Amino acid sequence: MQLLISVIPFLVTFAFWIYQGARLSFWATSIKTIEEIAVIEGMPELGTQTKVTWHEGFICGIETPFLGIFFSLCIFLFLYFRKRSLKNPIL
Amino acid sequence: MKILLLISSFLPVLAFGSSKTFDFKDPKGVNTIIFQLDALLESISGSAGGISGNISFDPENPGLTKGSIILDASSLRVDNPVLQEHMHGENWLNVSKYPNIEFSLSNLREVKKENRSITAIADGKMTIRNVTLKMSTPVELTYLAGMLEKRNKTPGDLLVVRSKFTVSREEFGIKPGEYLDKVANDIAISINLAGAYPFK
Repeated sequence: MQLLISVIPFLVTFAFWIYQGARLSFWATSIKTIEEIAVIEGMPELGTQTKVTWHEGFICGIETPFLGIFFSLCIFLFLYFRKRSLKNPIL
Repeated sequence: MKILLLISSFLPVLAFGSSKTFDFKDPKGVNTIIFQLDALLESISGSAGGISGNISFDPENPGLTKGSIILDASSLRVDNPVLQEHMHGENWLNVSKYPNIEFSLSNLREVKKENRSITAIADGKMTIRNVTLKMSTPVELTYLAGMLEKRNKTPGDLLVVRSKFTVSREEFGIKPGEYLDKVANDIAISINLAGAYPFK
């Protein structure tokens, strides 16, 4: 039971990381949008240009599952030592 | 004296033909350079919008095209603020010391014309972090005579320059051989720029 509770943060963060695309790079706080726009408005047959716009947003990176591991470990250690101290009140 | 003045006023035309100087500082802010680094562990992509420079282009003789495109290195942007800070920092691009990245175009060769589009190989020099190297890259130019008015509400011509090429950070002395698993050596660059030649 103790192990099951402590593994929850890791499972949640891992699932969230997978859901967001399992990026191996770090957290992103800006998201770029790329669109092809006509060089001359309304005349795309004359060629297009790539327009890049940046906006604030969050996409999780590799830190997320690592944070999950860290919190899982903290919870596990807390529960483990709490159990030990309850068994042996002198400690 | 009048004859001499008349001849001297025609000299630039005789020397450079009817070349037009296109300004690549886009008031619409669309001109962008996109870059991509695909390393084993990390893929970094970003863009830069601080573009300026002039290109002299003669529609009748595109081979003589020359000029320079300058990129404000501090306008390089990626999705992670820490990564961006490192990229701009002293150990990587050192944008405070080397504020500009410049491609100086000396000529076009293997020019092929098809309707409005011109494809060629651009010969020039690329300067990054004060390191200048000769480069040849495929380019596509689209000359749109009299179309500036429809884009910028100013009478004039438009020149669109497109190119895709790769530069090696090792060659430019940007942490050569280091962090190759996270920061790829080859930087894929894609440019798509519109230059304006307003009629005076």
